[in-house]
Amino acid sequence: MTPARITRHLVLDAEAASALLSSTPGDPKRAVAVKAVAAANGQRVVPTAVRGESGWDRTRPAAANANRLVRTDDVLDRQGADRVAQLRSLVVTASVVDAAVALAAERVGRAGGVVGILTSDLADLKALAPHVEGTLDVVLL
Amino acid sequence: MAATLDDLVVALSAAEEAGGSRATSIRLPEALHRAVLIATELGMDESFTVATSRALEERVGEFVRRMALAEHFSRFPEDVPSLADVAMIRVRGSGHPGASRPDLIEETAAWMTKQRPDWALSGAVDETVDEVLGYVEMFAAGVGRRESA
Repeated sequence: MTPARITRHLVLDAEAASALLSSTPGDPKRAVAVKAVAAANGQRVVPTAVRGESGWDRTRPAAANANRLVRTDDVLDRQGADRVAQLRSLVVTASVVDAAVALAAERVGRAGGVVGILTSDLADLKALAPHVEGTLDVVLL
Repeated sequence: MAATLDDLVVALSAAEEAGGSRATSIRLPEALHRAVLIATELGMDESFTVATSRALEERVGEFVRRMALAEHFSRFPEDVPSLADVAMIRVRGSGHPGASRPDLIEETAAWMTKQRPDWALSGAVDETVDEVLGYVEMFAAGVGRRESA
């Protein structure tokens, strides 16, 4: 019998994205971010708002390692912007980036499985989590 | 010039975004060709082309993931996590028995690490974690292991 395969997705918040961009040897935050990437066997995404916040320009050679590890962007499109606005009205302390992370988690979670969110802003993302469809696991970087 | 992993990442991302098509000629085993046609007819995918493209995209994506992790761990060996940590994160928030039995994950991952010391540097993370979790599920069910009272 083959055991049921557990699916875990990953959405990066700004600090996790910054950690992934680091090329400093022995960066402890990068090690945590990469461990989260390794544990995620489903989708691994970075919201475009997070890329803007963390300075992740995919065209820069310095971003090559991060580009390889997390290839997918969650684009903040028209419908996404509406959802971000709705989420921010429900959690007024949440920033646009926080809500974009929650939106990405909601989209990714539709495929089933657990969506891990790696963040330095535990409070706002935990406040957003109950308003988002899917099973979320908010983890502090 | 030799192709690099970065060339592959760019090409694959473009393929996922653009979704354009180009005629190509490949030889498939006749039985597989027929199996894909039947599966398509039964609703697996919209067409033979879509089925083939999805299968290739998935396979290339897995290859990229494996290579990306292997390259990262080879460049930054200090970032190599413990297999137990990765397996424990994988099951967090899920209904897998390992989520409530970290002791079983620790024990099984320690054994597996001895069997496959290169699990991270080879990029074979997903299959190794799946294997650990498969054993953990079995042990948690009381199969193949004597539980202490």
